[in-house]
Amino acid sequence: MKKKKQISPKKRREVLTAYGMLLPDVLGLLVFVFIPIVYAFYISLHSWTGLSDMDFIGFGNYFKMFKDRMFRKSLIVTAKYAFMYVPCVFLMALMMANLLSALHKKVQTFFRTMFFLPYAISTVIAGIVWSFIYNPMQGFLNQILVFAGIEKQRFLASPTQALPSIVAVSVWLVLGYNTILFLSAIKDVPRDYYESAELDGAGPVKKFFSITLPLIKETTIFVLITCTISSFQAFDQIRVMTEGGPASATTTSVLYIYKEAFSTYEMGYASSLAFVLFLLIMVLTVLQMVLTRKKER
Amino acid sequence: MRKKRIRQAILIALALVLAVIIAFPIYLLVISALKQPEDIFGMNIFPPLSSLTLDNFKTVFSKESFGTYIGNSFFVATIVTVVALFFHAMAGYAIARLEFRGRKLIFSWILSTMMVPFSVLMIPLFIMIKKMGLVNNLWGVIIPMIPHAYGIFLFHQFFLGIPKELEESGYIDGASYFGVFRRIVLPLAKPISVTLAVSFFLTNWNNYLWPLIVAQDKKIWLVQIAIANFKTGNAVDWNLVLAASCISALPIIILFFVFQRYITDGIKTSGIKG
Amino acid sequence: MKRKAISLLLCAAMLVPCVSVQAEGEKKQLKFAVFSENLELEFFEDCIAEYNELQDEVEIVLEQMPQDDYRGAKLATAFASGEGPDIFYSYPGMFLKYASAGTMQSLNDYIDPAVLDDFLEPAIDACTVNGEILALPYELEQVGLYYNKEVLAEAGIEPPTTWAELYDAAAALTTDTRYGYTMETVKGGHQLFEWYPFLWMTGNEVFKDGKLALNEPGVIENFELKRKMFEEGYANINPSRSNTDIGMLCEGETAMQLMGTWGISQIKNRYPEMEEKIGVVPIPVSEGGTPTTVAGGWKLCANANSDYAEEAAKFVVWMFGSEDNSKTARWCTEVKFAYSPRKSVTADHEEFYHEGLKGVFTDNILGTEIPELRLPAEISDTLQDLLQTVYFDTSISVEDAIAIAEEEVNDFLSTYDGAL
Repeated sequence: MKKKKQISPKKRREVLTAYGMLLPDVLGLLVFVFIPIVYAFYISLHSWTGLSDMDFIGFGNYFKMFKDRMFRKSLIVTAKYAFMYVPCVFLMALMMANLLSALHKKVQTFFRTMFFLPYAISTVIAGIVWSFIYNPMQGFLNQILVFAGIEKQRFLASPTQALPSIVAVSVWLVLGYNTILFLSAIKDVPRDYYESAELDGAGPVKKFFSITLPLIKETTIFVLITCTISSFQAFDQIRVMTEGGPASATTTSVLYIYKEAFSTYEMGYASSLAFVLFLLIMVLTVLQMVLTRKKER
Repeated sequence: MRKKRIRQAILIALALVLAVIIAFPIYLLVISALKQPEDIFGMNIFPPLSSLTLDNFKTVFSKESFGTYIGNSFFVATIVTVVALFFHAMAGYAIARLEFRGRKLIFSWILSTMMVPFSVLMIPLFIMIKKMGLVNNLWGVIIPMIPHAYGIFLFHQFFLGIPKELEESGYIDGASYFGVFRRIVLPLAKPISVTLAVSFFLTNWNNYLWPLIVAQDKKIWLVQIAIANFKTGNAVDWNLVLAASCISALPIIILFFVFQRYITDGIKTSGIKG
Repeated sequence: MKRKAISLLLCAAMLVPCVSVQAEGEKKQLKFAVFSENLELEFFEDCIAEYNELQDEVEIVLEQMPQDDYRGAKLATAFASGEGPDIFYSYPGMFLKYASAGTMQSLNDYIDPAVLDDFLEPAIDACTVNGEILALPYELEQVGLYYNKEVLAEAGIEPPTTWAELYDAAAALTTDTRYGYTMETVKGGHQLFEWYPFLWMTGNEVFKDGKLALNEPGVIENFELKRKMFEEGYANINPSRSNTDIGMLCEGETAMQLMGTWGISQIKNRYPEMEEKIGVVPIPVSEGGTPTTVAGGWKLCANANSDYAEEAAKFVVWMFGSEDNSKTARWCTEVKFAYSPRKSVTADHEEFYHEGLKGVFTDNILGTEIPELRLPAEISDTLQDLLQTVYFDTSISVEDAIAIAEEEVNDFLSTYDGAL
């Protein structure tokens, strides 16, 4: 790379092709995501209601959030959400993909479709239907509990149960899709690897850990990182099911930012909150990348 | 052999239990959409067949231009999916396989664009769309939705996983970089492309906030906006909301059903080995 | 694959001729943002058609959106990027923000002083800042306690008139499949709206000497009462719908429901078979308190930053502030049931306001109302959080919750110099 002067025509072609192939998306991201991000940062340095002119206040918004009790609380809620959501999606999708791949091809198609179904439902509607299931008085879940001789629970109406209840819905929504991602990765693992392992007398568990898992690493990294990012951005299902309540027990940071921006019209402040959240997600993602890369060695 | 069969039966039983749990809320959605308006919140899971009705579905379709909204959604989701798929495959391949300066930097930059909550970007983005004269225009909904790090990331991960030997044989035959990508790599990416296509189509089909912001005229409403507009006023027509949601979920399910055979046809079944 | 994709694309393109909307002719086009459906939408469509016929200077165009987004991202984004509607509604939660930003066009120059006299004074005051009338009220919605007559009669319970009776009735009426009492549980402006009468009837106010003053026995007693009702499950902890929908009472989810005047039109339109079975009484009163209800409603205003602010203001005044009161009358008596901020409408429709349940409102509740407060958004947000905490978060005492809210609000007030 350092010998700049001796670029071969082949090398130059490679570089040009690469830039050419990147151009449409990079340009698009630049115009429709990056410039808005920069502009949002500019907004975050202002006091702005969105109704009149912006008022430059430097990092005033960033200092303000140290005193913001509700934002602190929302960060804790978000962290709890992520801690429940990410492992659940990851482990369950991996298990279900393995289950599917072990099934006979004829039944596999059927179950694949069944598992995928929830992904087709819009988040908002999923929220409404699950509210029926969680209903404390006549909801389906409580009917089962009563049948099993367990006391009725409040689910979405309880400050302690509301968040796990929402996580369950979020997991339900994306589980099928992530299962398919894992499944297609598992399918790409060459059959003969397993066959030779079987000859060595390896059981299914050993085969999974010594063959499947290392060979689907790229998908694993992808699912882990995208799940983490999306857990920090959960919004629609919460808005429909609890609106952040009861007593802000389900007010995640994104919901809080949304309300600051569009219900309170504190656009400048909301932008600064979003930047702090952005930095947090970034740190977390880098950490995940470093950790998964380490394992590789 | 017998042992294998028993194992298979146990696995099927397990899958069946999971499927029932997973599909139950969908059943509830459909059955609720078939109920009379005043029965919906009765939460009866197995209502008598005689109490069910198709009226809700009829009313939704009798609503002026519900068909147009479905058409609009179809238009938006299709274009975004097709264009995005091609762009993302190219970008993902360039980063995964080609050598050039700033590769890591560009990749990190692309990933970082995924991490800012969309709601804060909405105002700057809307101002931009306004400057381009695309407010109240379906293209204003479509164009900003095309570039997205998620697809690039997934393609990148996929291309990392395919064996290099395949491409090398192409280069030996004298193909250009783009030629190798188009003729050798892209066909291999069929399963991942279909998976991603389903995801893109679905995201855009169910997308609500951005199309709502861009649309001012009813003529360019998407189906999700129309559904949300059943929920206005002090009392909501939940029967219509549920029926309309069932209708809007149907294309996705059909799409998945049709395309799913490609999804899991891994590389190996295309006759190539690593 | 590629060919397939292209043909798909073409199919889609044929299905939808890409629509872009252009201004027609010479007329100035004014956007009027609404969130209505059915009867309410029809009303606005009719009014606009009439106005567009009447003159050839401007053309009013409706922009319809869901109510949640009217109070959320849609309208905010539109304003922030200079695409705000020319004509829109304001509500108490946003009124002061709009006012201090100068978003609402003053209507003083367009409204006839004689017509102004026709308006109830408190209703106009709620829309006035520094002598400028910034919006026109066209409905006054009040709150009462609706109940199922049959259910109460079966249990041998009289409709409650005091807080103690409310608690006892809710407890007695709660069964395995029905709550005794339902009120708003979701954080937001509506929960605050429903709370005001319970505050005012104890003789308290939100502010005293320019500071939040909720550490009062009456306020605490009310918070404790509701917390207890939720904790014991006598009050509906998870209403199936927003508490703006009378359906929960009509379908048997609850025996009593706190509800606005609009509930009466909902019963008429959606549950005609229940019309005889539902009763209304004033909101139960605290010990020694004064019967009180709250009056709210949306207001129509014109965007001062619009290129056509003047034309928009003229339209607003033509709608609800002209000599001809028929628009307000149709809205309050045909489209829905609400009290009119204009005395002439109430006088013209005396009979209507005394039919059936409406008579209960008119005879027993009307006259006890206080207009909903228009608080700065920051303060109403803190109050909404306070209500959530005292109703549902039993890990913190009511007194402590009030103390936290007071600190936050008074902190805000110390740097706030806008109108209150």
